[in-house]
Amino acid sequence: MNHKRILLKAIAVAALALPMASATAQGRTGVVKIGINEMLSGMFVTVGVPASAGVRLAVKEINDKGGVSVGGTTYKFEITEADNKSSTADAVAAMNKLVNDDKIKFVFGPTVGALASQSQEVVIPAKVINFSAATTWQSGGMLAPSSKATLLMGTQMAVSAISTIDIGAMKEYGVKKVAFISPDDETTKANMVPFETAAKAAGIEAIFILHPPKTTDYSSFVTRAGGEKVDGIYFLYPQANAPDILRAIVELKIPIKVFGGRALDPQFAVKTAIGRPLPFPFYSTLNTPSIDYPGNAQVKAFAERLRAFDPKVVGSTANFVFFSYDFMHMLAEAMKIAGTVEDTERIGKVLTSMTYSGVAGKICYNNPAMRTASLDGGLIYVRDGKIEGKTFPSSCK
Amino acid sequence: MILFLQHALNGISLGAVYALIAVGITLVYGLSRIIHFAVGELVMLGAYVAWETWRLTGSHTVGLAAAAAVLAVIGMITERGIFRFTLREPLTGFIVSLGLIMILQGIGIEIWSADPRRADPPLAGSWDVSGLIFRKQVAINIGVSLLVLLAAYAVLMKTRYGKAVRAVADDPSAAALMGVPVRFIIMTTFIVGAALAGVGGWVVLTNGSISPFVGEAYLLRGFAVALIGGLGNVQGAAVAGVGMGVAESLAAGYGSPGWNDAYVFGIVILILLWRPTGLGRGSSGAHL
Amino acid sequence: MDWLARIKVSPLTPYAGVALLAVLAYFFPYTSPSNKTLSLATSVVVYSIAASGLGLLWGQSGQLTLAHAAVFGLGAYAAALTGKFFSLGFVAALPVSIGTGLLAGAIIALPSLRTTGHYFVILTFAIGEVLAVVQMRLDWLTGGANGTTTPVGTQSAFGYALGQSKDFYSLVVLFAAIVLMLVCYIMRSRWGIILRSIRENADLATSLGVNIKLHRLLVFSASGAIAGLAGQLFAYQVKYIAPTLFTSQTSILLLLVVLLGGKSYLLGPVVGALVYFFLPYAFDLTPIQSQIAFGAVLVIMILLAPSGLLGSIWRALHRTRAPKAGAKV
Repeated sequence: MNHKRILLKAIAVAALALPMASATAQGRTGVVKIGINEMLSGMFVTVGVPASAGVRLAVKEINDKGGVSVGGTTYKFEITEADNKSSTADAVAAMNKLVNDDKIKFVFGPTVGALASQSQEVVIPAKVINFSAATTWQSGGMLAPSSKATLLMGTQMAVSAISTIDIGAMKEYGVKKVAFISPDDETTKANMVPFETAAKAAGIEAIFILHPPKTTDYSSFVTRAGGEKVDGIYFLYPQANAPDILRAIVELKIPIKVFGGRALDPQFAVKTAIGRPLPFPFYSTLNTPSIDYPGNAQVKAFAERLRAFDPKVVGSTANFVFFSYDFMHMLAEAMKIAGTVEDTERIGKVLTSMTYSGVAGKICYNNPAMRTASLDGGLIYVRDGKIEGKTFPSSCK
Repeated sequence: MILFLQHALNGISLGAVYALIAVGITLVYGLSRIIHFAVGELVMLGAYVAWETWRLTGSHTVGLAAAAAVLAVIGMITERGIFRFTLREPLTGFIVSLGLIMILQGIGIEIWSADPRRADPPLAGSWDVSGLIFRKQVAINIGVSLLVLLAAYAVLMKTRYGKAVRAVADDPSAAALMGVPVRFIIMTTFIVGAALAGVGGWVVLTNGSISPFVGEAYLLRGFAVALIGGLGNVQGAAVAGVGMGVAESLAAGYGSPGWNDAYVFGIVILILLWRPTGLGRGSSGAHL
Repeated sequence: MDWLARIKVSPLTPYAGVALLAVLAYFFPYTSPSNKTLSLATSVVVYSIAASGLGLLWGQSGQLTLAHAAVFGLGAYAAALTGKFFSLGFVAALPVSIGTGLLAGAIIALPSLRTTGHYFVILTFAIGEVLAVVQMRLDWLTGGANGTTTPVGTQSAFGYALGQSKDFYSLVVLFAAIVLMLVCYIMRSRWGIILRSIRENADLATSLGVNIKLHRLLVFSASGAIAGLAGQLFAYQVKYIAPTLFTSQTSILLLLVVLLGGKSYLLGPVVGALVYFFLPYAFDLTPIQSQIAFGAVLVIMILLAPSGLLGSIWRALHRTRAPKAGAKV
């Protein structure tokens, strides 16, 4: 009887202890450090702030849900953020600090091409997974299948794909000759060849007018475009100067059929610098969904969540948030599937073979020519003062 | 041909700002021998004063007056507080102006951030004169610059004060013997120079977006123009300013504008080598 | 302050001082500083070298240049590009970068034979800016605005691993010690006296038979060579260089460093660089705040203390000593 009691007690204790023991096994926790190297001040602050906010919001959401469970351990993410002041030298220094001093294995940014194409030199030998929307990675062949830098992850659609959307809109308006006006720098050069290729394929002649980077008076360049008898003008960036060039086109009476640009605020066309609607149609291509003109309920809900999280993220460049938000979630998923938070090569392989359903539609790396993601794109038209959105769904299954 | 003329016309509006800055530089130099490099930052401040005033009052006219007035005060403060101590050693004055650039640009970024700002333009639209487009804004800007420069010229040539300025420029000690308050006259050139930069800032604002870095480009051009026109030579500076604007516009229209800065500095180097005190009349004394 | 008067300055004292300073600096990493502090310390030493070149030119011969950063940049590009295109290692690149600096210095000196005073200073400003544009536009060679990386890799030089921040710092300190001793030697040599005579009164020096043009050319070359060396060290320190790093803004920074410490003192550049790099860190200033602060420092120093911190300290010591010395007599 006594024995039985003891035995029962023992069983009871064991029965209680077992789940507890396994609970402590499951309750193992860890921390994964995530680095952000973005333009939090300087010339490209409007790009860097949303790109950084995307990572921070995603990390907050994951951590609030208890973290991510990988191989029996629950990991929370911890962010180390570095401001590269929109300068290449500072971006390289920041990357050195994140990767070599803080030993971080996963870094987001810089989003701007010139900065990313130099800081990659730090990232590659350290086998760090680095997400960036830099177009220079595409034009520099860093994302080609033959490249040895297999852990650089492009987060924007292929430049050739967005150039096709750009030119498609030009063709829609019957443009025969388009002037591409942009600062004389590396980002521009990375976009010129795909633009010209897409134009040629559509039977449109493209000419390129490059101006010194700090230009604000566009008169001479617009006049030059007029002299070339173009019937369409495409303006790559900087987005903030769009009103200046629009005003020059209108006042210098350049007879164009349409004005297009990359990620421009359509309000520039509705309430322009000249105080009345533009005398020609306007469109803006986006290589992400639009935050200001959300095409579906999911994006709309996300936009509200984002604004509540970081009110600084506003304006036409807010959609840079998509180059980091969905990808941070996707990275956490990939860690789960790969069963590791250490082995970046295995995580990298998972990333390039999975499909993740995010706010920006279905996201995957399905481009055989380069390791850059496919996600939903958008086109915003302004016709007769009215704004219309159009979505280009990603090509992922 | 019409295209060429259009480019030239575009250039005149750029040149108007250069001329305003260059006249300021040249006046200050003519009397104090100080090469005042912070003038570019004064243009930047003028643009922001005009912008803030426009935001408050909605008026560009008030903005123009405020830019000129506030900058005149800043010109006086810098002269009283700093530059008057450097009159004996012009190199010191030059180095001081480099320090001022750092201070003013930094303050600009602290107050207004590095993001570009813009105002609704006072005048939109343009006149079409048989294919040649006159933008109304540009016409206004050229008009304002011309008026201001003519007024400055008239004051220099026709008034007692102008006579005193010219006397100090020619020979400060002789002027002092004649009872001209030399120090006071020098101070007024700093005030006038800064006010001209303020007007230049207003023109920059009405043309497009402004940022705390806007001063750099204008300074370099303005300084090159002052050199080409002959340091101390007001008419020379005005003419050279327009020439520089037209040349730059033509380079943008037909050449590869990425080298523009190198061309401008190349001209500066050549002039300094060939005629160290600049082109224009004479090379030793100041001329007005 | 009697002790000051009693110190007998042996001709070797300055060298011993530099050596002592170098030893102290050399063992600084053994205090296990943070990465941030060590990288700041490395910057201090590299900029001390570059500024010593400017100090020699400006402080001794009285000729200010605003193209010093451009020469510094040419040295940096010489090291990075010869490494990139010809796989030249650190040691092999040394004569190239020093030679580039020397040549560039000599070329910049040429206009000073025609133009003087602040016209010459502005001329050097323009030369510096033209060089920056050239570096920007020759993108097939320099990488344009994107810049270029220095192939540091796993190289080592004189037994120091260049990629290791502690090793690299130690190596830079050795170079600084050599440069400072050289500058000290020049300052105390007959040539130093000639240079100062040119600074004080060029016309008088000429009438005494000094070939001003020759000495200007020589001192510019020496100053350029030092800047070229500093450029190479800089390229290996930051591992990445771009034209924006070598514009007139950097020249103004170097001017500030030299002025701050005291332009005619051997250790002026070192003191200036220490203050320049550690002051913003100590007060936790943002880059913009320190830009404003140093702008103000520049204006105040040149107006009130043109002989720099060392000059002010020196004068303060002497002022307290003077009455006593007088009393003794």
